Amino acid sequence: MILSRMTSPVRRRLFWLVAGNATLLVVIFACLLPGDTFAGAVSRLGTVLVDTPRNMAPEMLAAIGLTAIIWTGAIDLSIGSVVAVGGAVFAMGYSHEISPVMCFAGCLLAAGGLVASNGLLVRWLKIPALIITLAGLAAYRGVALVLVNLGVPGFDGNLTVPEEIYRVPGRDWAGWILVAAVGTAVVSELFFRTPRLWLAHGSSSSACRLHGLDLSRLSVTAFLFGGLYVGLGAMLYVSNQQTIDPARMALGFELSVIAAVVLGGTNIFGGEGSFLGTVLGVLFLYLARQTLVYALDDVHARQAFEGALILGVIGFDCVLHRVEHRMEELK
Amino acid sequence: MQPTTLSVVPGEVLGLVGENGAGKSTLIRLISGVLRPDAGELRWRGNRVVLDTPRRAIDLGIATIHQELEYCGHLSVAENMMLGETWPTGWGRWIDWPALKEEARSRLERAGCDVAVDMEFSRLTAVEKQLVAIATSLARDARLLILDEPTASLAAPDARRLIEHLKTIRDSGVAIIYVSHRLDEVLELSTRVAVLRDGEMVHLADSGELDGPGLVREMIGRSLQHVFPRTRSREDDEQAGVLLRVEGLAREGLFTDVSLEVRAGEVVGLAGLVGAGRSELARAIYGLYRADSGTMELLDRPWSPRSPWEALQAGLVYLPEERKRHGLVADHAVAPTLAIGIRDRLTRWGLIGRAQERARVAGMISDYDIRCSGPDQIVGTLSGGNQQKALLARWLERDPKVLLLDEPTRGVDVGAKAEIHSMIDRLAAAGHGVLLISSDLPEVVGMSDRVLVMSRGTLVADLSGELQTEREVLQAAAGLVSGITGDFP
Repeated sequence: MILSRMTSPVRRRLFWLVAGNATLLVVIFACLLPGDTFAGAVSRLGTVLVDTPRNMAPEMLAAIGLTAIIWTGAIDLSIGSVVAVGGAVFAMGYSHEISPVMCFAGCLLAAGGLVASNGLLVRWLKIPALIITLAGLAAYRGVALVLVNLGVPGFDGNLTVPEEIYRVPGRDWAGWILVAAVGTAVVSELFFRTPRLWLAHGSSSSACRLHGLDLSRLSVTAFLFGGLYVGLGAMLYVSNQQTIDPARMALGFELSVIAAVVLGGTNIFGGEGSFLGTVLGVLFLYLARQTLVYALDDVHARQAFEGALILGVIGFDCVLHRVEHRMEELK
Repeated sequence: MQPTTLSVVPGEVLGLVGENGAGKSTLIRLISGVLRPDAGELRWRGNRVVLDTPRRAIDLGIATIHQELEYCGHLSVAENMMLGETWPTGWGRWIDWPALKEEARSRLERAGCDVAVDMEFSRLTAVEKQLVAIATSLARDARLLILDEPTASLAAPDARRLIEHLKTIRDSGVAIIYVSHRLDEVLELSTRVAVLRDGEMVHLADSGELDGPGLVREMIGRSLQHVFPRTRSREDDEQAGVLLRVEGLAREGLFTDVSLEVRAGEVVGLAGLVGAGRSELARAIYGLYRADSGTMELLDRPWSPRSPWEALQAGLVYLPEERKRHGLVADHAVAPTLAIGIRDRLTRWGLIGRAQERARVAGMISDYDIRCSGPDQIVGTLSGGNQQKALLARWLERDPKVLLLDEPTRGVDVGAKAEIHSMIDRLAAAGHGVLLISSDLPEVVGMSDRVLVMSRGTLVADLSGELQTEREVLQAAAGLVSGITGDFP
């Protein structure tokens, strides 16, 4: 049923990603085999798999949130800085000895609220989301630094959080939160009207307008949904860190998330995609990074390979898509 | 729009005609709630109404199907049909997909339309999209259906199917406002016809009182003497040399074993149904993709283009079928739209001289009578006829030897159509060779020296002389006859 809701390019991308993820697992296993017994390698692979949900949860949640926003034809480039603001609020709460639950809630609400407020700004100011969130990318990072400087007594660039209780969501609950959030997203895509209308908005805003749909309201609901998921992702990201450094926290996070979303088959201009594709896209990037950790020692070479891999997968799929589109057009 | 008073009653088809820019689209937008009038009032079933949004018009029962159909291509037919409505839900407000599809299916059935509701909307054919749009409107209890150029992109049989469908709708008591440049359709379908000119309604009469030439006169304010002008003689064509020769050209799935010749000073018509392979053949000749087999000669030299650029350099140009999608960058100004066709000739040392470009563009605007406010006007805001003239000017300025014109008058008004016909005739008279692809039967028969007919990817007839009639072309295109080659003077 889930496949019948998708367009053929998205279905094809899912196929590639499933095959790609399976291949990457085999490659990781092959990298683990030298210098270890077969059973030892299996055990180490198991450890990698067990750690996977926790490690990729922040990125996956943010990617699902961003997918909803991109479906409408908008984008949010500020999510890395938004996570930093979440971290700053968390640090302020911790330094004032506020209960861990309140710190988590503050982080979630601050990050989620900023993404949602981006949607409201887009609606009120009628300025493209790209512009508003590009400004937010710099502005929110500044806000995060101002907050920690004013709100954390004696702040000297970073704040260490040694108590384990402050890391419960990021370490112990991440997997469960991820499963619940992904399940909710996929079910909402399948059975609720609003996600279909986000896709409709991105596919043809003029068609939606002529059918009497309120487009700005639709955009705001997408940003609200995105805010909830980015907020959850920020909470897991921040609570998985021992040291909070808002100046460097989640730098480049938005690029990695956008790459995963596009890799998952979501059209960057809106109107096409699936949450399941995004989930597989994030998983692919995560496994690719793990593979490169085992295969290459040089960190810079790993980054170059990661970029090349993304380009290769999307490029190959684009060529297939173009050929298919051309043949359709000619027929 | 000038102050206009117009009424339409249930079960009536009001034809709305006028040149491009006459105000038809503006009037439609006012009635459908897209635009708000500065003055005047709109009465619906006797009550004054204010249509401030399209939604308000839809709720009242006024449905508009625009020329450029607006739809969400990535969603299914069922989703598109139910876009602005409440979707059937089950437990927990979850979408009841089977009920949604069933509702869409029954709406299509009621409208006599057979389309799979699961299919991605973008995969439907042009006529299916139109039929789905009409079914969607009728299902919303539309009492007034406004159709803007519904047959502009349809081949003759599909257009006929749509017209018959509209007659059934009319007979069920729905009022229809029908906008079209195809005057025969307007006269056949309409009860009354309103003519707009320069934003003003200049004529309103029962369709029985009107005929084609009279309607044209009202539309453009003068009579058109030469719909299909001819300033050259056939004897000249037969003595002229062959400019383009195609022998046994084939590409799998698109066309097979096509052989044809285009001589200097000759207009060769290429007719056929949509999907017959006409445009694909032209694109292969132009170098947009390679043929699998066969040979071509251009100006007595072997011709095997690897790119359109090579074709342009060799003196072969192609005017695409869909001007907005493949011909124009709608956001660009007139100047770059025209200059892009001759940029290699404007360039010196890799730089384009601005003054030289503007002077050349000004000359082209004047020579080809492109009606615009100036070279800086956005080309997408020009009327369809002037956009087409701009595209033609872009290529004609290169002084090509052979022109492949794919539906050159589609969606343009009668005045612009006559100018384009005249332009084609002048080109042929000056020794150019023209391959004219057209779904407009009177045009392809009237303008061409001979008509080649394609059906299912192959050439099935070469008609000239007394055999060059609409009836013969239609029969050959429909696959009823084949292998006709003849000229019975």
